[in-house]
Amino acid sequence: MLEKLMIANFNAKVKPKKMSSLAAHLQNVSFSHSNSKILNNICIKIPKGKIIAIMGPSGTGKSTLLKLMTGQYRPQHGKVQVLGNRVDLLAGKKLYDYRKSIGVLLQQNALFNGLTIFENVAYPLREIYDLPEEILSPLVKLKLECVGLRGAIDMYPGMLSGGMARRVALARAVICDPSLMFYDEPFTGQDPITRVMLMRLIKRLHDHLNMTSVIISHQVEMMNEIADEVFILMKGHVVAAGPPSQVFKSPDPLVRQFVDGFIGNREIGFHHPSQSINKDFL
Amino acid sequence: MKYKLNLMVGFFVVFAAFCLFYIALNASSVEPIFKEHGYHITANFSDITGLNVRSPVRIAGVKVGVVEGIHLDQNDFSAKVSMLIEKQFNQIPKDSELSVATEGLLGAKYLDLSPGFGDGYLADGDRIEKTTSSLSLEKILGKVATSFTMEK
Amino acid sequence: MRFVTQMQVYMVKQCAKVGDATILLCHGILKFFTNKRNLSTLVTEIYFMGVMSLPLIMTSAFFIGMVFTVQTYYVLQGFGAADQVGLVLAMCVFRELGPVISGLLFTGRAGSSITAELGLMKTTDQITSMQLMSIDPISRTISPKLIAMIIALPLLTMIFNWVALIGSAFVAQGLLGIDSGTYWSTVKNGVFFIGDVLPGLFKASVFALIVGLVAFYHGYYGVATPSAVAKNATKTVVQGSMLILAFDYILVALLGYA
Repeated sequence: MLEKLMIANFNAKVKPKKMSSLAAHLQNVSFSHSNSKILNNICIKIPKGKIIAIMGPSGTGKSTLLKLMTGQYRPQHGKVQVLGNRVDLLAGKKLYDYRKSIGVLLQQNALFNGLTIFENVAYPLREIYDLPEEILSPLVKLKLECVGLRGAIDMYPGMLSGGMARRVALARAVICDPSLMFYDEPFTGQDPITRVMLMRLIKRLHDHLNMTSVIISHQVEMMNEIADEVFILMKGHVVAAGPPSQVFKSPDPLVRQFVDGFIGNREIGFHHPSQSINKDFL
Repeated sequence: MKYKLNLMVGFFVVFAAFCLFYIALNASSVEPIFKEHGYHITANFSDITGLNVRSPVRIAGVKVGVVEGIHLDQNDFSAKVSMLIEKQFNQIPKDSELSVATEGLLGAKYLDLSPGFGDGYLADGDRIEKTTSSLSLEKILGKVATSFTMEK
Repeated sequence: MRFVTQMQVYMVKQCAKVGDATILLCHGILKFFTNKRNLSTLVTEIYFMGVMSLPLIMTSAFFIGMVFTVQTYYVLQGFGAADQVGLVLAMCVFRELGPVISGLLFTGRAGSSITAELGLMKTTDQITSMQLMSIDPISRTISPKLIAMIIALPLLTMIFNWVALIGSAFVAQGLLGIDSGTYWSTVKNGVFFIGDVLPGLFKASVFALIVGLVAFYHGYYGVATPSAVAKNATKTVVQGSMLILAFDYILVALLGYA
């Protein structure tokens, strides 16, 4: 059985072509969406094998950054290089080939309601690689065991709690052994216990599957614990970058504001741009 | 589950095919595919009540052609019926006789072609001289009634 | 002048929508064969669209056949042509009622559910997540449904035709006292298989394409919020029905049978 599992090292052919120490490299990336500038001249280097946290208040373009790196959006300016592919130039079949080497955990779990947990996790394997059942089944059960849900194989997504559904989605995202994994706000809507459990799970998966993880989150204390490197985004700019111990202690007022949740007398983006107040009320 | 599903879909397709075959066999006739390959003949009748365009022309009950058109002949006010006969039936004697017949007692009308014994065969554009018109039930009853009164 | 400009903009936008829908449909047909797993999905889809529509189609057909026969019977009686009632029904059903009513019922039954399903997949990010798993959502969700529609609707029409005919025969022979032999012989002589029955089935498959066009467009490109999904499903039924009736006329004119 073990030999069969080793034969099924199907991901080898889509591993990055160029051996570089960077998993992803964004150069001078700008992106605007219907006249509002979301990302402004951003440069980010994501080294291989590290856990990277991209943080910032909501609405600063963290999810947009992820969509740029997964090829859902295209930047107006700049280069997006992930795993040796120019993602901003990929299209069609090449884009799909590239996506075989990455895994994405979306904010909504996006599980298929009509399929059992087993079928949900097996779905990418069945669709992409034409594996026989006797190889596919242990692979799926292995990943489900990793997230602790091997017992829930025959349940349907509607029967799961939020935390369990998130873990199933995680198992599905890593089923093809991606070399780069994106997490879009993995802790939102979870209770503190589940959050810590998910955090440890992410760390363990990262270590065991030998991948690079990019986590988008605003949980300061958790990222402080597991991240190797932190980028703080504000209003479309990277305002701080480096190891969490440095970044979270930085005296930069913008960083302090985000990390401490302290407003002080600084202006924060509370009001959406609007007309003069007299027009509506007087 | 999957097996049951396939079975149901199989039943569905077979049922639809049955419906189509039923309609094809019992509720419709195959259109003359020989439209271009047949030959045309005409005949005059004094009465063709009940006969329609597309009514069949039969010899001994076998369909050999269809009625193509029905017009009024202004010279003698008879009905001029044009027919299309399938090409393969090319040995019908010229002195054959046409009569308007009924399927069953009250059924649809058709043209019955009873072959004669003459030499020549019917060809494109020919006209059949011997015709018998519709036997309408009312006329028969009328004749019977008059014959009864005559005997008195 | 401004009104004219707005109208032009509107027209261009509508044309773009039609273009989007048509391209989506073409992709749907072409991409069916890119995945061999589509064949087994096709069976499931035919089950949900065809077999599950059978009760609706068969009940409608049976009652339409019966009602139509009774109503035409009273009119034809006035001309002394009551025994032709089967022919009138068969012609109407095979040429028009069968494909059109099956198409309309199919729009309500299958079209709306397709729009709702695709819309829901979009609201819950399932479409995006399929794309991120490098699975083409068009080839795996739209193609099998589309091919299933093109197969199922003509089959449903065949069943509709037969059931309506049986319903009519039942009423004509059982209640109106028309002789069985007369009924079937008038139908058999009056209806031509190639000229009357097959064009109806051809129309049915065109209607399936139209329902697919509308349903997939509203599901795949429609706004993906819960309330918008409900509205899109309604739009599918309304626009699908209107297009079916409009195209019915166009097809009759094109096929040249009156």
